[in-house]
Amino acid sequence: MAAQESLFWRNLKNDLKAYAFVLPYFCFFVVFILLPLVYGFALSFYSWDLFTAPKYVGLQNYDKLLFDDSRFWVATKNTLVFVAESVPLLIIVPLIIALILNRPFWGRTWAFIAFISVSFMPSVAIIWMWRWMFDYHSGLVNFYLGELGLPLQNWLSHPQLAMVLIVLITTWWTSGFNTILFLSGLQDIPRELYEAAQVDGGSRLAQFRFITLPMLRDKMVLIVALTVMASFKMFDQVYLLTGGGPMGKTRSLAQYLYESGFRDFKIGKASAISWLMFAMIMVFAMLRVALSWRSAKESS
Amino acid sequence: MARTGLGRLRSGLAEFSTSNQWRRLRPVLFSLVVILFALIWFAPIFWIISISFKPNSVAALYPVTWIPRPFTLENYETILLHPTRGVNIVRSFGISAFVCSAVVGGVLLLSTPAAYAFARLKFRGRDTIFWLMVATLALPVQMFIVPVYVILDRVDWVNTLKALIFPPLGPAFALFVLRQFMLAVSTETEEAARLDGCNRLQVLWYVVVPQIRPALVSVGLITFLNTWNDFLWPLIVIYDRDIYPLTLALNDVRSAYHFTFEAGTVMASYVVAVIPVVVLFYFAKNHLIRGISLTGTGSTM
Repeated sequence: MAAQESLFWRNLKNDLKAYAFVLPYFCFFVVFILLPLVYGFALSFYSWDLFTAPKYVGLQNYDKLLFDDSRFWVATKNTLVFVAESVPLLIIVPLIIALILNRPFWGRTWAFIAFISVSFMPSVAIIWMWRWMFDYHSGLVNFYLGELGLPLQNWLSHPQLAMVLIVLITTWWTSGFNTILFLSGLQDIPRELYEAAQVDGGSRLAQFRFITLPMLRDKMVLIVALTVMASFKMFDQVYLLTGGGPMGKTRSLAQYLYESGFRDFKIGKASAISWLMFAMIMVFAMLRVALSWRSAKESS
Repeated sequence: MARTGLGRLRSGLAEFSTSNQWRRLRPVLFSLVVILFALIWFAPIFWIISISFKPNSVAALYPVTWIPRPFTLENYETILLHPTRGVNIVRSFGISAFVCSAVVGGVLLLSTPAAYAFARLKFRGRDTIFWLMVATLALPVQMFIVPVYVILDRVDWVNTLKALIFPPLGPAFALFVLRQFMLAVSTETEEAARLDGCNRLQVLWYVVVPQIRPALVSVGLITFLNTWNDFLWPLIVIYDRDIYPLTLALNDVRSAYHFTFEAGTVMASYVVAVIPVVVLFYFAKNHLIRGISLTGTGSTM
């Protein structure tokens, strides 16, 4: 009896010691992650402008967004188009750059810096530079079009062109991150596999097809999940480049959420948008969790 | 006739492709092509830098000239020494530096002991809590901005630097990465230190921290860069120009100084903003790269 009790106390003391290590961080986790999740979900059932008293409206926010808000659906479509166009580019371009950088050659370090460092620059500087380049009157692109005798384009007020530009600029700007992820994946592939293939006379293409790609599979799944999620919440590019225009043709869901919550102060509506975004991205979020979970399990 | 010509060309090529000349030429050609490609990729950045050293009167003239002639530092003078039109890059630079240091310090100070507990100690609820933290990592930032804004509004923290410093301490990225790293480190020294009478906190500080220093550096750098470059969150919680962090000030520069007439000044402010990033990149490239491959947080855009 006494022995059992002391075991209980010893366990409790042990637990408390461990909690003391976790607690400082856990407070922040609760206040800025857990509580906001619950709170945000609750807010999505209210109509509230931050100043007057919040009013419970049940599912009305969701109902309006889903069945009576063409802007929400246009933003959803734009976001999905952006994901569908940017993700393949953000896989293929970084993979090619990583394959190049994975080989030894003269000037490799400088090429590496040129390709990667762009991704570390602040969105404001990058996007405004491009915005100026594609400006109708004072832009460099239209100047060269004029020099070549081609018709000038109103790049950013043309719905399709504006979206293509956002995709291309995003590819140029953020490829560096995925390149780093691919490079670390490529460097984990054992050299012997390629040596064996060379002995067997396998061509470079065959080596890529039968060694590199299969060995990169896990990394590829992770990168695709990360990239889909990053593209899905794209905000800076639209906000700074087109402001969602022309006529909402480039407005993304994140932009719509920002406008609803922090320009129109419709807190409930903005919360509902965030949960609808979550519903759309859930599959990839779960994939991401599963991957983190597996790597956590592997190392313990 | 054509066939034999083509055949001859093909056999010629095949012969050439195995010749010594080609073998010596190939790496040079490869280097040249890649470097050319890299230069084109990086050209817009060169363009920004070059414009920042041109006087405003010729900055936006086309066709593009890469070497600034006449060369001038007056744009940097304007930005750094004579802040006007409501934009103060130097002050915003300082504010961003302060916020980033606070966030990096806070993240490391909070996450290290917590990661240690999750990696080494056994306690009730450990796996549940850890799972919860990992699960929230996958949620997009948009899930949090509205409720966190409301919470900050309740305690009157909106439009203060506290709103920039404290919320980034919530996500479990650093904890997750540091825990992974600690698990990969052998426990032998720790056990020896325990036998010598060190308590857990001493073990953490004197034994574990030195061993995971590379991970701490990587996590710190990534946190720094993400905070330095963040645009959305400051845009939402800060509206007083006196406490604008750098990204918001940069956004102001564009409207305060006209692109077409004062491009040099605008670009100089961009170059100033990127300097810390360049310095970090130069001195800690490998730490940074490891940080990205460990966390995958680079793709937060």
